[in-house]
Order: sequence, then structure tokens, then C-alpha cells
Amino acid sequence: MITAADVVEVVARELGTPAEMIGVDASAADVPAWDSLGHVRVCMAIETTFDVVIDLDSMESVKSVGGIVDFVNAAHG
Amino acid sequence: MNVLVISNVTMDPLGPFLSSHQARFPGVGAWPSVLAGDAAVDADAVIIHVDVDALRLGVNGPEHIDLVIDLVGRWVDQNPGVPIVLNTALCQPGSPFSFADGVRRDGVVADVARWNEAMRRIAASSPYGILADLAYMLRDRAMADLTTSRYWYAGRIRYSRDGFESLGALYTAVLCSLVEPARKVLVLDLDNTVWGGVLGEDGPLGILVGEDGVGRCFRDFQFALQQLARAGVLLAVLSKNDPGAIEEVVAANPMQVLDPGDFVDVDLGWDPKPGRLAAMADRLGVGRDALVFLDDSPFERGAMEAAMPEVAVPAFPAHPELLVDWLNNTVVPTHFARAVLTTEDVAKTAQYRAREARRVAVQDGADFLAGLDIKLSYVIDDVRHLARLAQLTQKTNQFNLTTERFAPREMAQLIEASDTRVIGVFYEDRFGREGIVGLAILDLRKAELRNLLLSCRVLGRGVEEALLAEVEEIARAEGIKTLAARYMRSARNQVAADFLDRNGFRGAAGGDTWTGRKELE
Repeated sequence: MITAADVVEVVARELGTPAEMIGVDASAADVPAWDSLGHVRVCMAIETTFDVVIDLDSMESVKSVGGIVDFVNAAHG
Repeated sequence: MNVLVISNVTMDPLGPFLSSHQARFPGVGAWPSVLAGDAAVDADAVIIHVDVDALRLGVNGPEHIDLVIDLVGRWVDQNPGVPIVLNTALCQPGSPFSFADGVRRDGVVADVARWNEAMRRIAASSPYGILADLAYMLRDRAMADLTTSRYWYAGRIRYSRDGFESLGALYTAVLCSLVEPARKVLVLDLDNTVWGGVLGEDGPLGILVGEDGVGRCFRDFQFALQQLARAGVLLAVLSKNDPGAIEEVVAANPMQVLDPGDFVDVDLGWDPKPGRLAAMADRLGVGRDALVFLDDSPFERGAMEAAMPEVAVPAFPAHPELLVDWLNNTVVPTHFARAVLTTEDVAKTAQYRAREARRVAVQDGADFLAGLDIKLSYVIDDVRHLARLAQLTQKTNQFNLTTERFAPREMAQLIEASDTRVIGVFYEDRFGREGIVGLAILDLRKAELRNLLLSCRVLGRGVEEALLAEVEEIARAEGIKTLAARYMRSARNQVAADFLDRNGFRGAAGGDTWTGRKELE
């Protein structure tokens, strides 16, 4: 099981944004660097870090810290 | 380096994989206007990374390729001073590639061939054009691992993380080759290195160099070495054998490829190799850090590494079937990754052999200089020689007054500046043509000789004085009455220390940095 803190760490690193600026309930709209290109980079990093594959349909649903946590934990079974 | 990446696909994720280079990405939407615009380029190098598949599958179809070829060609024409990296097409898994498509005139095979040839032609037309042959360089990677359709539809990102990592490593190597001086001489052992077996024991027909098996490995290795020499790398031999060994093999064994004419220096004898290699470097007039030493014997390699740490001594492959691949994919990229071959590079072996003939002429006591029939000519602010001029500032260490290095872009700025003259000197004598061997940079605004340098290949033949006289002539014509000149000591430019003093520049000579002045009559 991964936690919101795990995801925040990855998102912060990938977007070059301090982790304390990203709340555990943050979504893309709350983080200026989390734009469409930033989102693809976040998805790439999530895939590599947590060993999951995010298909195109799911990319929309993982535009928040919570969404990513749910997606990864579901994928890990 | 400060790198601009222009692309028709989203390349931003490449940034972190370009090592220490700082990259900027104008974005997919902006790329045609960047190419079509005439804004000055503020970058040390530009990568134009075009995804040919994306061009083919657009609304304009294959014709779009020709439009982009035109744009790229015009852009490169307008920016001769900027190192430019172009790419061959990488075939994507999504290419509409079928047997029928393969033979169509507007099929993918024809389009890719047209694109690749156009990029080769454009890269060749630029003083600092480089063609990154992506399909070749990434040939051992599965295309399906390098690309991703998910990111493509999410954000026009063609490559996966693996893909960006591979491209980043490749482009980093290309960029590094622009700034890091390459080595010059590949020094070869003979027995079990250039051929299999030991000449002294097996005889010229018993050594392994032939059409099949292990002999073929060594024969192919020799062909690869010959190609390397054509690309400007100098070959030399340092072997424990009796004099005349190579001639003996060439005369007896028709399978032998390399002959004495392929080498700039052949040293056969029985003394320890390190001392002999040091003497060879002196004979060739190159630093020890210009040498790469290939020898199958761990003992000889160890002795060389201990005695001459500046010499590159790569580990030798354990099996002969690995020789060619090792040479082309390890030794060459690591030590001879020359991005740009100047005319002078390609003629290198002939030049060094002419140099050896001159050296022998000196030993023969001939009236050397007078007999050389030296002809000098000068080029002033000539952008066609940009690559060679910048290269000289990067590579010349000994006769170099200030050791100020210039990247091609900086050299282009000097050439274009109205208050600076860049004067290159061509050298030719009865033994051969050396090309541009030196340059001077004259700052008209400060009335100062900013630098003067000369390749050590032609040092001591009056060329440096003649070049200075030419500079003074130009300065006089520009109305300069008193010419200043600087000297900055480096670890290796001692030979240039008293040049200004000897030639009438007065001032605080001595110390590590000083400026002299000379009244021009």
C-alpha cells in the first residue's frame, strides 16, 4: 500500500515544487506546475516509481494525489 | 552548454537526461515559426529533432516532409556559426509499414530515405553540422520500449522514459564531442593485436589474418582501422618485433590489409614500450594525452598506465570476434568522438608522413628551411573556415599566447564582428599541404593582438613571424600606431613565452601574464 505522502514526494520532485506546497488532498488545479505537460511527467514518474502502467483513459482520473494513491493501490491489488 | 531543442514532438522530458547541459524547448506549437523566423539564436548548440512519422501522418501527408526539409535547410544556412544536430528518421511502431507501402514512391521507405539524405546533405553543408543517426545508434534497443502511444495521445510525447534516457545519453555524447578535444593517435601493438599469433614464432604466413575464422576477425579489424585512418585518426605501431616486420608480412601474406603507408610512425624494437612511446609522441609533435594505446598484453598495458598515465589504455577484448565492435562502439566513441571532420583531419596521415619526411631532411643536414619552399596564404574573417579556426583554439596548447578557447559560436561572433579580425594562415611546402595551421585575432577597438597561435606541426619555420607580420600589416592599414599584445602563461605554452619580446613588443616581460607594446612604423 502506498500513502499520499509517497505520492506527494514523487509529484514534488517531478514538478520541482516544494513538497510542503502540495497537500495530501491536492489536485492538478492546485499546483501551478501541474499543467498538461507536467501531468505527463508525473504519470511517467509514477509508473517508474511504483511499477504500474497508466493507460490513456486513466490519466484523467489520476490528476490528484488521492486519485494516484487509489489507482496505484488498485493496480497493486 | 546552453542547448536549444526544436522539435515537432514534445521533447521537454529530455531535459533531465542531458547531463549538465541546459536545454530549452520552444514547444511543439512554436516549432515551425522558430524554424521559419530569422531571430538570432542564443544557444551554444541547437538540436533539431524531427519525428518523421508525425510529419507523414499529418494532414499534409508526405509532402509535408519536403516543406520541413526546406525549412531546416534554410535555417541551417542562416546560422552557420551554431553547432547544429540533425537526426535521421527513427521508424516508429505505428508507421503504416506494409509490403505494399515499402515499394510505393510515397511509402515510408522512400520518405525515410529522402529525409535521411536531406539531413545528411544539410549537415554536411554547415561548418558545424552533425548528423545523429538515431536508427543506427539505437539499433540495439527495441523500438517498442523507446516509444509509447499513451504519452503520444496524452501530450504528443513520442518517447517513453527509457526512450528519453537513451536519447539523452546519445545527444549528451554528441554535445560533449563538440567541446572535449579528441585524441589524435591510435598506437597499435602487432602480435595478437593487429594480427593473431606471434610473427617471430608463426612466420608471416602462420599468423592469423585471412578470410575465415579467427583470421577473418583480425582482417576485419584491420579494415576497420583503415577506415578510422580515413576519418582522420592517425595510426602508429609500437611493437616488440624486429625492424621490417610489417614489410615482411605484406610481402608474404596477401591477406594482410594494413601496410607501412597506413602508419604515421612505426617503432619496432625490444626496449620497454613506455620510453619508446614518449619518443614517438615527441617525433609526432603531439602531447601524450593525444595517444591511445592498444595492446593485447595486460603486462604492456599495465606498464604503460604506470609510466604514462596521460595515455589512454583501454582494456583489450578477450575474444577476437569482439574486436571490430569494440573498436567502433567503445574505443572510437570514448576517445575519437569527433563531431566535425575538417579537411585537415581527413588529410592527417599524409600530413604527418610529410612531416616525418621533413624531419629526416633536417637530419640529413639539408638547407632545410630554404629547401622546403614554404608558401603561406591568409584568410581574413572567412566563415567557411569557422570549424577549423575554432578547432585550432581548442587544440593548440604549446604555441598559444593566451590559450583562450573559442566555441564555434564564439568564433563566428569574432568573425562577424566589425571591430575584430580573425586571420588564418594556410601552409604548404614541397612535402605537402597542411591547410590552416594557425590564426591570430586582432581587436581593432583596443588596438590589441588578442591571441596568436600556431600548430606545433609547423613551429620553428618562420610561420609565426610571418603571421605576426601579416597582423601588423592589417593593423597599420586600419590606422593603428601602437599594437598591444598579451601573453598568459599556461602549463604548456612555455615555447611562446619570449615570442613577443623577440619580435619587438616592449613591456613588463616576465611573470605569468603581461602585455607588450610595439610601435608600428
